[in-house]
Amino acid sequence: MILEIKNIIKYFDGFCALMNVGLGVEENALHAIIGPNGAGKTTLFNLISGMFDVSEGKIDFRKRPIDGLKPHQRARLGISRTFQIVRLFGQMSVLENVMLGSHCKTKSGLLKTFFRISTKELEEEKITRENAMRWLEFVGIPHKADQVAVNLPHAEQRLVEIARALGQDPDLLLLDEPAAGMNPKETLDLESLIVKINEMGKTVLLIEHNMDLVMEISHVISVLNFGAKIAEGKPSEIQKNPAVIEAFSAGYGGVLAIKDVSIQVNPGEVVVLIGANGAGKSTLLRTISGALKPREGQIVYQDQKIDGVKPHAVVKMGLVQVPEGRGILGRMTVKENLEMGAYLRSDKDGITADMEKGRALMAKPQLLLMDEPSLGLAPVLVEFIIDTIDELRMQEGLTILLVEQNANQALTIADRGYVMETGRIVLEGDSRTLRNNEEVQRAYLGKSGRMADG
Amino acid sequence: MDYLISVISIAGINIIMALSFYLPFMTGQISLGQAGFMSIGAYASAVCTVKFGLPYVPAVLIGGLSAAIVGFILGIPALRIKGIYLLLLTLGFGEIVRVVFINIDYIGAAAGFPGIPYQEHTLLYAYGMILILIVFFNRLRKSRMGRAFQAVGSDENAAEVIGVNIIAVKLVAFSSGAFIAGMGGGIFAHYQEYIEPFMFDVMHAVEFIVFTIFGGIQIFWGPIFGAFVLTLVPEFLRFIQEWRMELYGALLIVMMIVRPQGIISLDSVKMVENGLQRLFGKKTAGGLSPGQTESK
Repeated sequence: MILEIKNIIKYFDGFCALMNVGLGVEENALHAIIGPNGAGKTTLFNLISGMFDVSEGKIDFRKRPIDGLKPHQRARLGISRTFQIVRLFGQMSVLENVMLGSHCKTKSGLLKTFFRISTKELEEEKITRENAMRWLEFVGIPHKADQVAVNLPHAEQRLVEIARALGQDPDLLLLDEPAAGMNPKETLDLESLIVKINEMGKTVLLIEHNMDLVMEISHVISVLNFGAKIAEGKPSEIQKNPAVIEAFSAGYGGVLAIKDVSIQVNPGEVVVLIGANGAGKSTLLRTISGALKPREGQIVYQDQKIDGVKPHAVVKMGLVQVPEGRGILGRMTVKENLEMGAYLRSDKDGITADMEKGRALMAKPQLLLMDEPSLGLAPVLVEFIIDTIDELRMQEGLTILLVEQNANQALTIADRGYVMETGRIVLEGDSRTLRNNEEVQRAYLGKSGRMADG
Repeated sequence: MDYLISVISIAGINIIMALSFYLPFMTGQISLGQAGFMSIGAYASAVCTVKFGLPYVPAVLIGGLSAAIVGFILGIPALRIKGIYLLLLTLGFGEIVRVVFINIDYIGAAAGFPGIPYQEHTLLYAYGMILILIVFFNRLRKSRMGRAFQAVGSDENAAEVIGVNIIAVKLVAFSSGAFIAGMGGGIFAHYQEYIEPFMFDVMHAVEFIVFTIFGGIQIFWGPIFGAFVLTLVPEFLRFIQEWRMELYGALLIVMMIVRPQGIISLDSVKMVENGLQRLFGKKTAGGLSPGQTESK
């Protein structure tokens, strides 16, 4: 038993976040903690890493009580963690971030660094650098070492955080929703990375909402609900546990997101989904790509039933989803976007070619699901993105199902469209019919092409 | 010529003071107490030379050490508080130091402390110290403690969780800053020949902050550049007489609008570094500067 949590209680101003939770983590286990939002999972991590103190109860690490120890002391003992929302030191380079991981295992002080009386400090710096590089190679992004951390795409920032945590050479690694915000391909890579870390002999405690990932790799799963542990066991046992199923259908399935939805996309078509925020557009895309499972009904792709097929398998079949807001240029600043606009006018072919290169790497898609590819972009770029989608269809023969806020522009290139409202399809038709439909115009198209409440 | 040397000497002392502010600032601590530490260094070193006949260099060092010790003692309670509260605490500290000096007859009380031996090579000593500080900050940037400083300044909770003892790091930064300020005070005292408590009021502490922010907070070249330029500008503006402070103020406002990150940014330093490396034929460090993204 590497970590033993005994009957801990945590109050926040009278609110009880964790109630009498006990948890034992075996040496070298890959132990997952699941539960609906607000169940107390991250609070538990904060208590283990020492960011908060327990109100009552005890936490033992390697048979040694760690209550009252400061976070940095716990780090030195061999506990490291990542955060639910990435917390990198944004303005520092990727390598420096990872080098910071070994801070607690190294010694060089301020004066010695300055005076360089012996070569020990330079030696230590060199070793730290080499170790950090090794961890970056381990997570697969050594080529990003010199970049400023904040400039990395989201998924890679998560990898840097994992590398930094590994840099502490921990015995127990706490991963807080490492797959959050990752696309299916990235999630798959992460899955094998976590297994690899575990096989190196590190105990992993994992909070994750992605059930496929959890069920696939965990040895043990503990389920939290409303601050209490309601179940624990092997993945197969947890999946059958009635208490767990109930907790999850209340937590996740309580809102019926989409109902009685039927859509059809023919080969070579561009079909656009229109609707207000919360209408169920993204849910529909995620259901098609396998990230969510439908309660009822079926999805057929190229004469094959794909509901219940795992996301990575769906990707291999050529059905690829581009996640919301991370499309092509989504993570750039406004200024960069504007500069890009000027750049695009001069070198549109270049960037299109690059995009196609990137796309070719993505398992050669046939059906592309695009969730708001222009989210947050400058108008000149929205136009460019829409044009590019059209080109993808024309030149590559791709079929595209598109969710787009700029409905008016999207309809100029789409063949057909569906209008969704509160989880249902309320209207369908070819692009011209939709654009001329008065109700649609009033609700979604507006003069600016933006949706009424978007 | 004498006038120019005197202006540049004062600029040197201001650079030292701006750097003394910058060091704890790297760890996210904003101190309004640097003028207070400066006065401790000034008085302590003056006592050493005037009352005990010590030579200049050890006297200035003792000035720095005295300030560092006070900084350390003040730091123990002070560094548990953050942001605006630390600002208020250091502000209060600066005022207390001043009031204490006003009431000590041994060092002249409110009448001031006259007869401090004049150091004619102040220019050399000040810029010699700046040179040492440049080496220090440069080594710090690529060292374990330097990274810890930056990490604590950027997100101290995350830094603590990954194993940085944030109290220790802040205390080291705070008392080292006090040490530099004390040395600056010592050099100042032996240049002015006469010091009085009113010379070290909070307005000066604010000035050191202005130097730093104007010059740029991303890297230590910022406060160096800011202190140098902002000391010289009002002098060169003397010909417009009473309008010069207005112009100085306007310049600050315009700069903050046009270049809020300060004149010297990390980008510009890296550009110069890469340029120098190319010039001397060394291989350039790989990677992109922060302004560029990998997208294009």
